[in-house]
Amino acid sequence: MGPLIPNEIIGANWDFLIALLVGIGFGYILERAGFSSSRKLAGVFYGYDFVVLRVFFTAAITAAFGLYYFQYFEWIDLSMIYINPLYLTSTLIGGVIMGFGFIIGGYCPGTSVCGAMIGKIDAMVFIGGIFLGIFFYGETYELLWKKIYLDNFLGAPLVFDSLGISNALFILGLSIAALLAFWITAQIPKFVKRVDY
Amino acid sequence: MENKVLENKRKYMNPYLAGFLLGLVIIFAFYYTGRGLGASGAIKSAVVASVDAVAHNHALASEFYAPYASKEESPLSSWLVFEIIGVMIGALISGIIAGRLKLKVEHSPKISSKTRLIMAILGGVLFGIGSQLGRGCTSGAALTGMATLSTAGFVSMLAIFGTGYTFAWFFRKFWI
Amino acid sequence: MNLRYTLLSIILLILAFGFVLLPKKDFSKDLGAEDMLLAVLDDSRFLSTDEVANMIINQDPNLLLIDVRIADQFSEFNLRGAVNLPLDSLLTEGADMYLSQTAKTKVFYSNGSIYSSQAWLLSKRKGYKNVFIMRGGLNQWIETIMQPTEPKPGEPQTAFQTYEARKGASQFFGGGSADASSSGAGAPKSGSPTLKKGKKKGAAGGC
Repeated sequence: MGPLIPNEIIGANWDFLIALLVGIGFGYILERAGFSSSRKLAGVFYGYDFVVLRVFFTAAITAAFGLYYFQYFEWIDLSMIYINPLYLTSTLIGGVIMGFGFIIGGYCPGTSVCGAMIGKIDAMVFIGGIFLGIFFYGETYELLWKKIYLDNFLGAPLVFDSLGISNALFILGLSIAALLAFWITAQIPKFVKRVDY
Repeated sequence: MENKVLENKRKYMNPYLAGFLLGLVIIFAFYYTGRGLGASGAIKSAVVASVDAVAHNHALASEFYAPYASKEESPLSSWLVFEIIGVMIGALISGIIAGRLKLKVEHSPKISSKTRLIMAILGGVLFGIGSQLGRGCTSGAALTGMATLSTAGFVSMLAIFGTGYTFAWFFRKFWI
Repeated sequence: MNLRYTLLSIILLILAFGFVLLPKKDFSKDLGAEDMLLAVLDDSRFLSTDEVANMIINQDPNLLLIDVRIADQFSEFNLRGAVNLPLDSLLTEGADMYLSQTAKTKVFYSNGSIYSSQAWLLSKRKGYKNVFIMRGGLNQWIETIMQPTEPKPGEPQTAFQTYEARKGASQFFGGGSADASSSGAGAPKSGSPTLKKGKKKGAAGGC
């Protein structure tokens, strides 16, 4: 039963090889879908290109279906996988800061790596910016961030538990929401001035 | 212009297909290693390794660096670093296949290259801070977090894109 | 495009509805009596006070100390970074929040070993992973870490090494006597849980 490495079904020395393979898949798909272009990414905020929403939502739903069906067939033990811990304050504030970073910089860390690899100078500069940002954070951690970083710890809850419904019901709702979003966003570009990039 | 746009369209993968394949990659990652994707974590490792190399004692004294700097193996020998090396390889392969390898600064015609680069740095810095505070970036916190249906993933996603939409109007000149 | 996308949408909805209609399974992992017996026989559930002191000093980001004594005793004296989950609150949601973090090394302690052992049994029964007991509890802690006794000449070399380590630890924790003002309750130390420790644990963080 998965996950194979934490369950010690295959050796831990496979860890890094699998990391590399996962990365190649991730990078190939991101670049192939056009995530190496900041103007294509920013399109999601201005309604001229919804590739981010489509890829993002489809990937999350596919993976959620996969993981929870796997659990149902007992192929994977979901109590062994990493669930992001919820520290409400820092998750929210961090998210808002990243939102500004996205709209100003046009990339996020993963996509900037893809952009940099195909020669986007703005993406390389963006990575330099992340480096500086983390360095600044590290230097001022105890002074500025530590308190909010650790504030409002709520464990590592799952969203259907937080909402008090079953996981299946939540996945159904998410699927319907995604289909609606896909359909609506397919109509929007008709009303928005086209942007060539 | 028309031709170029058409050509680009053909070279990009159908977004739903890309999303489906990306979902399979996430399942693969969880099934084998019990963890999902990430990106900012690798850059964090690079920062820690640099600080550790330049000022080891400083790194040990800091609550932020110490957990990584005090270990015996290099902070660069981490899962996410290997994953990001993979991302580079994957992106390069795709770029070569699609013929997109080209050194350039991509920006809206309304701003200069210089403005774009300054904004890119600024955005990067914000992402650097935000990803540390939020325990992960768009891939690690939002995408992977949503895939496992963790509450944190959804909160993160709503915060990032909510902010993006709320303030998009003020920054429209950079993009359209 | 439309026919293809409509078909895909229908497949997605069928999968989603199918999942709703599937009979429910219970994945919570209460251990059976035999598993419990095996777990109890395994001595690795204990950590010595030296090991715990070491983890605190090294700021092990995965360490989560859990004080199972009543709140009054906790506020009087506790170990640095510990959270207070009295025995009767152990099955509440608030406790689950801490205990369900697979990646953390959760160490129970009380004055002796009795309450912490009960807490350990309960949490084992509930299927929580990576839980330990600090052997001898706070009594042992004060005896060995806060007020270590110097070994007599002629005792083996290791006894002296242990003593040196303990003296260092003693200084770190405020030395000589039990320091009641050491940092109190609150959120556990956090940080990306990348340290590999112990057997079989959940995977570490994302990004």
